[in-house]
Amino acid sequence: MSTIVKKLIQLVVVLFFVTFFSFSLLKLIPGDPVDTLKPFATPEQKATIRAELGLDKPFFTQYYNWLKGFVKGDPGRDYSTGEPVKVGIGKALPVTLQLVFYAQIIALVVALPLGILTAYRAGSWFDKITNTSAFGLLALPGFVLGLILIYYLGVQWKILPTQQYVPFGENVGEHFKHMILPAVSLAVGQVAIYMRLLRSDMIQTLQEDFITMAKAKGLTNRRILLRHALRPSSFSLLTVAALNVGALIGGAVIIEAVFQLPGLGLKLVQAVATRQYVALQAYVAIIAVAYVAFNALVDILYVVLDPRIRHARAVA
Amino acid sequence: MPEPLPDSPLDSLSAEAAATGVLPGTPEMQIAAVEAGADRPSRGRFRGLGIGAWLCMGWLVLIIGAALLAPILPLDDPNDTLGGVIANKGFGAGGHLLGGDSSGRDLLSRTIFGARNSLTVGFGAIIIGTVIGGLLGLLAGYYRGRIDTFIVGLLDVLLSFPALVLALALVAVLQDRVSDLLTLVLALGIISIPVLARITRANALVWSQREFVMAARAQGAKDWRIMIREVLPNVLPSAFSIALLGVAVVIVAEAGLGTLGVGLSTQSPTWGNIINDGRSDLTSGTTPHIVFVGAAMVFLTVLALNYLGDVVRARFDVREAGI
Repeated sequence: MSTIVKKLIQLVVVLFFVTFFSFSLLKLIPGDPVDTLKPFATPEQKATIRAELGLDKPFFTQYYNWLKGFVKGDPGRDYSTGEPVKVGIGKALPVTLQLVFYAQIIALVVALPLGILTAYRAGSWFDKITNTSAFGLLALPGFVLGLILIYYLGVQWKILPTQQYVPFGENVGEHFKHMILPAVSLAVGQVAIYMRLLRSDMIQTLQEDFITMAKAKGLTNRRILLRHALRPSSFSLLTVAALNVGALIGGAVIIEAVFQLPGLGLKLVQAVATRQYVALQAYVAIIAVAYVAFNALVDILYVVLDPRIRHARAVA
Repeated sequence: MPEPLPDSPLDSLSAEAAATGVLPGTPEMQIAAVEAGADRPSRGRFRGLGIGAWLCMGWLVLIIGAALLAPILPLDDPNDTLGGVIANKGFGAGGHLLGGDSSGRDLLSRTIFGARNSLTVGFGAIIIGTVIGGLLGLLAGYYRGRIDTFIVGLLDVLLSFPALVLALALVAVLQDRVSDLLTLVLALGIISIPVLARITRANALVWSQREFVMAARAQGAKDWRIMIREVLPNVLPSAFSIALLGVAVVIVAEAGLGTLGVGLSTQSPTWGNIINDGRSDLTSGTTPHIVFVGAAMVFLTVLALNYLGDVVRARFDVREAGI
């Protein structure tokens, strides 16, 4: 248990540096921040904003106040629309999370059987073709695939809608119909990664003595693959899948823009374009904090789930 | 100073770096790092390159050559709308091989001048990333101890941001200070630092323990001399293979930022901007070829770089070199 406490302390330290970094990074923007945030405001309005942001205070006081607001859930507002950032995030975050979640599910569901089968039949034609396609898919950015899918499935054959978001609560069927193309576009690159990873780990596992033992006992191949080989082989797959959440969020930014989904990515891009640095600070910090916290959670889960790690720690 | 980062399973993996090599970072790099061993047909180190490698090299030479020679090639001005006669016309229209874009600009010319910009961003960013990341990695791996802790902490803070999100924030910071092109090169260069630093560090850790390094030290060589003359040459090949993949990643990132309309000004031709220009014509179903041309350039170039990166890695990999 002390490992977990240590990890939590480290998490807090990392979170401190990450928020500090997001805050100070966007403080580097040249010029008077108020002029950039609201160029056409009257002098009185500008004075109000300046006081609101505490721009006359020393840097660390500003950071402290910002962090306090951030932790309390009120990290400023978007001065071009006047909307508080938390309202924007409240609307946008679910969209991004859904997109990333669906993409991850699709990627894993497709990659697992492919990884197992290619490892089982390593060197076969099926293996070669799958591997070559996976290599090709790696070179195909998700947003490019998204555009191709929009053209063929959306515009030419009119099978699926492409440019809208329907909340889950409103209409479940429509929700999935609108999310499938973005999620698939985001998932495809991951499928290639996961599949190749599982395949190479699985090939190694299949050389192990306990697999020979299982064969000697006369177990079916199916049972050996799924019950004996899959679990020990899926360790680095899960590690990478967890780490990849960051890449998925990054990819989601572009996918959201391409499919016009009102997620965090679209907000981020708008904030950059309209130079809303206060909002941008909040979005960047939120994404980074979520990502760090998620990875820490995965880390802790490993300690709980995998006896080998606990044991390694004890020995060390 | 950040604490030594969680010595998580992830970290123990990256410490054995090279054995399992699950690197945080971009998908291509992860794959590259992960796949190195087991299932790759063991190519002899001096065996000839396959047909695939030659094709990829041919494509890159073609693209780089065209990009370099663009101003003296018989091309239309990439920003000349040519009176709009070939606006939205497909391949071959009016004697223009790739047709025109939505404003009537010659798409072939935009593609080739776009290669200039996209490749400048790709290689420029990776040169920055390799020099700075390589230096940090070398220092961390050679000195260990506090310096290592500090550098790794710094890298981990950078890695705490999804790469594209950090790139967007950096673009926001830089865009009013320096030119568009430099903004992109710097922003994408900075996000490539951690990955290159990590791979260099992992290798430097291993090589710094070797006998010839000890011998150099016993002879009284200075630290910087050992680093540059003894360790660096051994660390370079793996950094180089990751850098090749990195160029591919940066080209995709540029195209992505261009698609978001955040990259170079929409006037300048880049592959990302070509895709962005064509987006409305694609979604309205009128002329998909503009997006397809930009997409094909990105796809083929990234494919070629990935393939060559793989080949280089297979040849120079520390693990395989010993066998």
